Amino acid sequence: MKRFWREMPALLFLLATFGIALWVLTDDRDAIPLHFNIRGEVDSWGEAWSVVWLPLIALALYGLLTLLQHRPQWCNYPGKLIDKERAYRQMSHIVCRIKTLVMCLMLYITLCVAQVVDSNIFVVLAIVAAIIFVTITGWSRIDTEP
Amino acid sequence: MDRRYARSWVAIVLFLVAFLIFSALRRCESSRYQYDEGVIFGTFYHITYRSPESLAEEIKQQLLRFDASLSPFNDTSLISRVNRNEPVETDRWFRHVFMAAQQIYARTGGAFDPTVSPLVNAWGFGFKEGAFPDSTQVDSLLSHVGMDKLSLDGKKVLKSDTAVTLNFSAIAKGYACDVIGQMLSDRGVDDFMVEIGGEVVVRGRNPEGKAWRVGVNRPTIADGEAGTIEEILQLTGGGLATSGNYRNYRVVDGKRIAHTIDPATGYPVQHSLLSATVLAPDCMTADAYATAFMVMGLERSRALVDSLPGIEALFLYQNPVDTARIDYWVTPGMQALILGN
Repeated sequence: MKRFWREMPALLFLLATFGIALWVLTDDRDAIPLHFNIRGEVDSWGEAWSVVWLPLIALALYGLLTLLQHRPQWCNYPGKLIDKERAYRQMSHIVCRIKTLVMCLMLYITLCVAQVVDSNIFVVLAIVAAIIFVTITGWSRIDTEP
Repeated sequence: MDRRYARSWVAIVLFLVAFLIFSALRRCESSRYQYDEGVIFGTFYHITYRSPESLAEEIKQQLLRFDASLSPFNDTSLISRVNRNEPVETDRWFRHVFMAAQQIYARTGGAFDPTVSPLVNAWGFGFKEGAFPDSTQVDSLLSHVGMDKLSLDGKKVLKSDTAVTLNFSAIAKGYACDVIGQMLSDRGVDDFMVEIGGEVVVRGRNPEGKAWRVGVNRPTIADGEAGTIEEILQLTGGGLATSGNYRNYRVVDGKRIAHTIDPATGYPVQHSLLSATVLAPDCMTADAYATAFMVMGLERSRALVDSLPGIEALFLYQNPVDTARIDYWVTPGMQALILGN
């Protein structure tokens, strides 16, 4: 049950990304924003079908991160592990959280492209900062030999 | 410790979800489009923009300030005082337009010349209507025409001939569109269309979420022929201006006299070009080049537009053989913006 709740946000964000992209595709739009400048203004437009790339990229990232979550031994660690089982479990949680944040970032980008929310570079930076924070705090909780 | 850590993680996720919902709601609130219209420089303006609140008063005040600087219809404006040779210090709008006009004057070989208004008036297309001038009058007036007779010394305009007068009508409306567009951008408005006397600045999307659509009129060749839309352009940014000879003309002995006066000869232009529509990164540039192209005619304009980066054009001209037929020449960049392409 705990695992279900841990996985749920990332999955919901991914499904929402697909939902938004599908809505854009059926919304009879002739163009969508392809690029935003630092002030959040659209400086490039493209054909509406290009929106399909966003959920596809999100799905690919979701798949890769889920794989990594189940193969924590593939990850790098800050030193020689004292309790491998515990460290792998911890790393699996870190990857799960990173996955949630990455899916949230993909959803935010899709919402910006769909022009449901205004693009803001600080939101992107905040999510990236959260990913760094989760990684550092998670790593620091893994016990390694001095 | 673990429970505290887990709780803080749940809080982060909830915050992200709440933020996305709040952002979407805020966007919905700001998705309302406002519409303002009025009269400025003796012409109408229409402005549509996406904003939760009306900026009508600010727009009007900005246009009035602009009018006080560059309107030749306003006797107390800076430009009117410069024309009366009063010792005035110009403002930044005046200097910006002056320098741009000088640049385009040089680039077009004098085809764009904001000092040509005495000749425009003499031919009856300006403020004063009268009989057509004879060649002596034209030569006399022509000697007081030329942007090269003016220069800026700091904030002051220097004239090598005090009889030279300025009229920025062929560039200032475009610049006024840019000024209002910039004002809206500064207020955080991303989607707008500013139209003043037919010159247009657009950015972003229209209320339907699509590119702004601007019609280009079909020039009227025969008298009484109704003006229809020749092409529809889809724009998401930039300034668009059209100059034509088909609306403002006088008929003498059954012959049309165009309102565009060639600053080189002092006489109305005689060529097949009926209208020039120009798209540029800013409307001031589009406005000036549209006027210049109407002076230069089709062939010279085609040659020039190819050498101007960032400038796209659509020229409607009279077929040389079948004079009732209108043909067009368009740059590839403009072609891509025509609805249906």
